[in-house]
Amino acid sequence: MTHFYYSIFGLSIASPMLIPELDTSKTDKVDVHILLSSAPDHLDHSISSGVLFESNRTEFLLKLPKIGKFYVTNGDQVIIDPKPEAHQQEISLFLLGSVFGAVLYQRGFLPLHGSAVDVNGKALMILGNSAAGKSTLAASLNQVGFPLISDDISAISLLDNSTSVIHRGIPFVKLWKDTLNILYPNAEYTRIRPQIMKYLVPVNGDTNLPPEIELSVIINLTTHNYSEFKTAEVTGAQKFIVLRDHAYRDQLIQGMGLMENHFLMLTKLANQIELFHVQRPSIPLGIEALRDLVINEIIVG
Amino acid sequence: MKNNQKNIIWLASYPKSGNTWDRLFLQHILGTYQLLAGIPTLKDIPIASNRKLIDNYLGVDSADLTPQEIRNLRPAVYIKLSRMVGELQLLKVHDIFGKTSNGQSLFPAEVTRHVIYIVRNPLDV
Repeated sequence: MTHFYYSIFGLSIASPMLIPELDTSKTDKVDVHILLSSAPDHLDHSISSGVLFESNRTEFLLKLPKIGKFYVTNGDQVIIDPKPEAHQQEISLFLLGSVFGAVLYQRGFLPLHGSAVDVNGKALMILGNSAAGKSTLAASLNQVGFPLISDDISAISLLDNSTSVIHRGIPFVKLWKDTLNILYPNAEYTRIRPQIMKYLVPVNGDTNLPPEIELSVIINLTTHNYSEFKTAEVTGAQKFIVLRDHAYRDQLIQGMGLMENHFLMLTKLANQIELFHVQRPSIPLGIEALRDLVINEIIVG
Repeated sequence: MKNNQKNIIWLASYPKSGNTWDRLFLQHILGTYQLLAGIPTLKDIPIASNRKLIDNYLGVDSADLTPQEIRNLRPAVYIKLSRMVGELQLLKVHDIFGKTSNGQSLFPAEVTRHVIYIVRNPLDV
């Protein structure tokens, strides 16, 4: 069978299915094999489960009505069992989201819910809940010359007690229509799903970026009901709490027996990075003002 | 707690009805009020429509789902939450008591212990 080879999060992927969102990459060694086959309806020994997933130490099963099933084992195999009516971009969307989140956990990475850009060879990561503006801020920083490292999922590895790196992720940002109109007016991009007005936007200028970049600064982006922007450095135990609260799909970890190692990694990471809390008005988004604030007070400051 | 036990108490109100104030004194009464690193938190009584809560119990990002899909999955989220927390859980809610496209109640009776409807005197606002 013909295979397509890709690289993402420092992992080489072999897939029978075209994944247009990823850069192709030739490799001798494959870390994660993707197969198109039938997946189980349930795990035999599920330890943790949500409405759409089940997991244990070595298995993760995601079941999406009208899209299909995704079955991840041992961090090295993903079986995709698509429904006939599923669109290719829907399969890619969930594969590169929760499914790869599970792959990363199974392989011992620390995946955080955030986007990251490169600032002079060091990574600046933007954490935030959904709709906080992570992708928007990352895209607007990218537009003024900071290469994108990852969007939505940031895969982190701890090299030692003093250094963590973030691996290059998906070379796209996902933006809602209103943000797209401001940042990329007149451009035509693909929707993440046919029914959703959120778009996949390819980003520029990151071809020379190394596969892993040292993580040095993290922003926790939140919204508030005031008209001004605010920044403040976060210190002490509060750093750990912010990182803990932005673990990517932390419900998955409980079934994976990873809690202890996960908390250990969060503690070490908290000691290695500078963390800033940036608050923006919930309305309007103020993209330029937010970007300039981050450049002037965090990147330059 | 058994799987079918009713353990969710909904704090239903229009916004600005004193919901947060009610949550604070309920947390003090129930002993669930916490100080995390010196900062008070209302974490224990989340809003039912909280995206992070819904995403965590679903296992996917709700921003990747259609409004119809999210609505249809919400009853299952609350049933899952009820079983996983296993004890009394207060949830703040501003939503109308609606139904999914399959006719299921958005807030399932099978996990509902009580509903507290908070009304503010309009002359006092």
